[in-house]
Amino acid sequence: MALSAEQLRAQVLDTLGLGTEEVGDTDDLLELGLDSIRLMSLVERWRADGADIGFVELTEDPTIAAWQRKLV
Amino acid sequence: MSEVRLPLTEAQSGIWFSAALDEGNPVFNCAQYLALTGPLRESVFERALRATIAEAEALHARFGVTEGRPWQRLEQAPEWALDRIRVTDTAAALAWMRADLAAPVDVLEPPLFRFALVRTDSGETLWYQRIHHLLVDGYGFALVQRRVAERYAALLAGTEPKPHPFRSLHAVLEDEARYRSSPRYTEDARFWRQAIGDALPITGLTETSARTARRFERHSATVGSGRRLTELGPERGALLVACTALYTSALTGTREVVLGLPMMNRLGRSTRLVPTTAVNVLPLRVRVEPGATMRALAERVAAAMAEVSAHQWYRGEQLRRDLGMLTGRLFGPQVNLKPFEKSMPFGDCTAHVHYLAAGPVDDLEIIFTSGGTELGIDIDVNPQLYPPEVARAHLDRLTALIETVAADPDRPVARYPVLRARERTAALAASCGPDRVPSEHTLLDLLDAAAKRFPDHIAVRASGHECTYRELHERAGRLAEALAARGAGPGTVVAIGIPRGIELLAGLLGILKAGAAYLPVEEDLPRERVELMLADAAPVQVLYSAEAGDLAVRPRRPRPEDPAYLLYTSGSTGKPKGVVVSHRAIVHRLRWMQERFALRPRERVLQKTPAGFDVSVWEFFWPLCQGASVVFAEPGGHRDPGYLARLIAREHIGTVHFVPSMLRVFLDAGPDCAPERVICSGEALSGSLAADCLKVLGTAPHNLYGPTEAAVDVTAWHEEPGTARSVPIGVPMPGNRCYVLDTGLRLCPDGVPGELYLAGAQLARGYHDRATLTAQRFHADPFGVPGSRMYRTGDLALRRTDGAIEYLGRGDDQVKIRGMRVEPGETEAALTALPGVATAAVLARADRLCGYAVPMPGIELDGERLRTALHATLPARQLPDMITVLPRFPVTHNGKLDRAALPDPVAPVAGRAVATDPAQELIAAAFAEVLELERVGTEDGFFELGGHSLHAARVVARLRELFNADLGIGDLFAAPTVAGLAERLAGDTRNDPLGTLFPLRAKGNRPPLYCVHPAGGLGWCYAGLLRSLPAEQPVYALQSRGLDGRTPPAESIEEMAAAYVDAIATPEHGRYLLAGWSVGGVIAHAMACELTERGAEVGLLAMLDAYPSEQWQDLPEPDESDAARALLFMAGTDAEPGIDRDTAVELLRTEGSALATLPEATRAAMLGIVVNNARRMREHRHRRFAGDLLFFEAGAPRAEQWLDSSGWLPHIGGELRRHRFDCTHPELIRAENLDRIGSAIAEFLDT
Repeated sequence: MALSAEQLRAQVLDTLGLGTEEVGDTDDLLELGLDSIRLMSLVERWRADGADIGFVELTEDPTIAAWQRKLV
Repeated sequence: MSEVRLPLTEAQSGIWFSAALDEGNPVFNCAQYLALTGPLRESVFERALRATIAEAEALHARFGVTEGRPWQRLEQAPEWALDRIRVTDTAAALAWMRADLAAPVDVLEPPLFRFALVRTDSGETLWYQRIHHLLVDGYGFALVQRRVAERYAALLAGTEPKPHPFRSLHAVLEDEARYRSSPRYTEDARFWRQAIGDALPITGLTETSARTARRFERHSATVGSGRRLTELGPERGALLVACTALYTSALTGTREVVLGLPMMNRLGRSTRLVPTTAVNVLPLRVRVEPGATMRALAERVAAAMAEVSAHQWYRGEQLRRDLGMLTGRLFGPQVNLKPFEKSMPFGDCTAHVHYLAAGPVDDLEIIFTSGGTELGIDIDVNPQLYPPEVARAHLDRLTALIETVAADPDRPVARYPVLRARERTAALAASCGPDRVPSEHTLLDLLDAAAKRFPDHIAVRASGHECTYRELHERAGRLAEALAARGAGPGTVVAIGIPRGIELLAGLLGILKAGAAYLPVEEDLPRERVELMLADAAPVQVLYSAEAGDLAVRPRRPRPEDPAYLLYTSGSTGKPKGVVVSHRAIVHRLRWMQERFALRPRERVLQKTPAGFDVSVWEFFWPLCQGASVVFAEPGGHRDPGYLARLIAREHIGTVHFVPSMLRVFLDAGPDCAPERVICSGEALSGSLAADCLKVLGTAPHNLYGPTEAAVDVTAWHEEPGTARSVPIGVPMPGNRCYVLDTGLRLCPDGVPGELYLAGAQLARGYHDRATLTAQRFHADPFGVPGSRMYRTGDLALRRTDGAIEYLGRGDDQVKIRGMRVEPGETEAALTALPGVATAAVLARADRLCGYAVPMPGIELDGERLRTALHATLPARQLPDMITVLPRFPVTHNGKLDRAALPDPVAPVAGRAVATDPAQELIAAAFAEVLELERVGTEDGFFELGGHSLHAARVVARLRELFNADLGIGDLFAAPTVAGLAERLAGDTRNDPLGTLFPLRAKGNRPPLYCVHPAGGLGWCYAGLLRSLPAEQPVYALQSRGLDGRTPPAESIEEMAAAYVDAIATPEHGRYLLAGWSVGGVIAHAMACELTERGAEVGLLAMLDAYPSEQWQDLPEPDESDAARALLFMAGTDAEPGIDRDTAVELLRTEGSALATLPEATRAAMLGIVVNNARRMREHRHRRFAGDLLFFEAGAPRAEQWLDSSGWLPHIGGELRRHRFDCTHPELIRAENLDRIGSAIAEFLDT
């Protein structure tokens, strides 16, 4: 999958509707308001792009840093 | 693992509560299976599975109950086997799994899970997992599955899997505790109250309320445009929910939709790693605006979902408690977007996840599962509420809707069809009356033809004068020539202000012969209004007499499209508008009438409706087209029912019209006449009024409906009055179309309310000189041929499956009072139904709901008491703020209720006594909650407020909880006010609710009334009498021996009678008043005989549907099943024969019966008491009581047809006074019937 760390961050921020300054790499995204439905749409997009990742895996450690590790 | 008993988590508690009410119900099992493709190494798999289960501590919980409270203990997992099952194919595998799912599970016996490897002959391997919902939800399943896959892969690879994947259940409990004490909890509580508080009541896809079934049924489909859906990207989830909202909105006829949204509810880091159950279903409120695009709706939905998500830790169960909703809907259909992927790697295999069961389905749940380009839709339903074809229909429609939306999400929401094509066709067909080509004759043609055929028949009779057809037409002809000379002709208007009589008809006919349209301006209209009408209509002449005068010009005949009459109607907003109706339209209507009723020559029709009201049009002209006679009531006489009745009888009038308000007045006057047909229109016709009409006049009324804008009437209905509250307006007349449309102008499905639009041959041309208004009310008809129109009535209606349309009231009637949606019609119907109320009206004024009632002749009503009585049937927000009693209602010129003239209500007496200390406050709040009242004063009596024994049990339960006090129902009866109870809680005197002599009302200066228990032995059912008996009348219940479960019951009726007499006999005797329901009546009779023998006076012997033993002797003795049924009867519930004891007890519990609060020993004893009483009753031989018997009979048809109160005659010396109720035996003790019984007893005692 050709997803860069920056692209991932941008997609997450876009889905959350928040700006760069508001979201740190180790902030818990679920607590910031990322609900399961929007998370699901991210998962689907990444899986459609070839990523081998599960919804539960992402919720285990829902931070941008962790996701970058798993996906990039 | 420890020995410590832990509480249940909040999610578990919710499930426990539901499951405990229905022990063993297998619907609480959750199950999934993984279809594994590839070479699965079974022994490795088993090792991976066992290791995972060992790690998942929360799955090893052992549940228990102590003193009603559940707990769990995390123990070593008991032995469990990985079952290996061999079947032929996938179908057989699924069958095996479903059978396993259906087996009941005892939640007190671990393990609460089962795993199996199912292998098919065709080489598939399915890993089946069944785990009780107390242990997992969907997320929990995924955690377990992933870990097994991880371990399996590691074992194969010889590596070590990641350690400690799961957290402990303690973490969940801690997270919950932290949340409950955080400020976030309070904020969330407030958020939810505001979000949902004023959306109640919530509509679902079915009227009936949900009960937990034992299974659910699933219907599945796949949406074809998967690819297009993927292109929608991240908004797809919101779009699917938006489609569901639109679907629900269209099928319920509401714009505000509340869906159920299951939230994962795993916000805490730890909770995300615990295989447990956490799912929380919360209401999602969406407003569907017909003009917005689907995309815009989806955006709004997404925002709403984000809000719900932000507050998802607040449990739905708690929200229910906050809103005081133990039952009732919190949301409509549930919609579930499954995020869990359908496939995952499993070592060197792949696993596909399949969802079998996710717990109970109380109503209807829509599940969207997406994997790539494919979208699966499952609809899971409670089969008790949705038969398979209904569920399938929902699925088909929703699937079609989603496909349409996916292809084009930018249409306005109103432009998506919701019904399937064949449903639309059927709805359209049902909207159309039979085809009928409009005639090319004018009204004048028909009138002239009749004159030619029947020249010597009497056309008109008025005040003893009459004239023939020939005479009438000659006179009218001369007038027509005179009018023509003054410019009257087709397309012009001539106003006419002649009072009722031959001259009026001559005038109307003359105007028609001149080719003009007539405009009635009656002399009793307000001057100002007449001036407005004349200024607007600009008639060529105003006629005050039918004298022709000198000038004469040959008149021109009208054409079918020319106006025949012009009638002014006032709208809800000010200025009256003139409706122009053509000859073609009115002829169409009259033709229907003649086909329908076949009026014969020389028959007589009463003309009494004012000429400005279009009903008069057929009164004038229908008879004159058939050679029949018009008989005029004298001017003003239409308001005098006595005069009308005499006129109808004397003149042998066969057809008469009434507006329902006036029919009520007429019937109440006790008319002595028998018209052949009664026609009603103009207002809603209630079932009871129709029934009274049949009773009094010997004919059931025809119900017609139509606005002035559609040539008098467009629908008709006639049936034998049944139990319906309101008589339908019926089916469209030939040539007419009646559409029930939703806010998007789509046809509504059967049973869904919408607005009524009319089309067809009878539409008026429009409003005189008001082109804009005409365009506003007369739209293009989207269902008719191009160029055809439809008229928007503003009336709400629905079409029944049998095609009949029911009128639901004015669209502008639904009002908001104190911010809540209120239907005045519902309150009005309830008020009308109260005993003694002849007619009622309810309207909103200045943010208050005002009720008005007119009493039946000879009855006195009190507004406050009426209001109190309504507490029994209406929810709090539907209660009128005050009720004003009037001797009669003001009516308009046309005889309809004149709402605007109803007087402003007088403000109610201020200040119910207010609570003075915290205890009183809490008690008042408990009363208010259970009785659904806004406020309860500290001196208000519980039963006067409308409480009955079911309410009593609930209040007592709450108070026990609140005060941790050993309060019983006896205390409530003894001190039924807030102040009284508060005092009691401070003191310690108490009544034994199972004692022989149980006071229902101990105070009062009149001789007490003693009510003897029915078959079950308890006398609480008589509490409902308190309300209608005078306040000074004490009431005691006599209850059976043996209710404590220890004493054996009595051996004979005489023994019981003697014991009870001993309990109530006082040295100075006085008058004894006795009553009894069922066997209680028999015992009361025996007591009456015993008392008389002892020299006492029995002032009353009343029986509620009790019959002498001779009539029971031939029946077999009851068994325990009968006893169980009898118990339920006493709780007010009817039950099927053959019901078993456990089900009966179950029903008692769930129906919230007062009996459910009794100890188990008492309930068990009651079964024995019932059987005993039945046996003793058969064995009994009656003595003779010298006095009268007051008998209340449950008159509804029953299996035991031979039961006859006359059987008492040999056993009494006085009169048998019977009161008949149209209800069944168990219904006799319902509040509304006890009210009447109490009143009858009070009356009897006072004479």
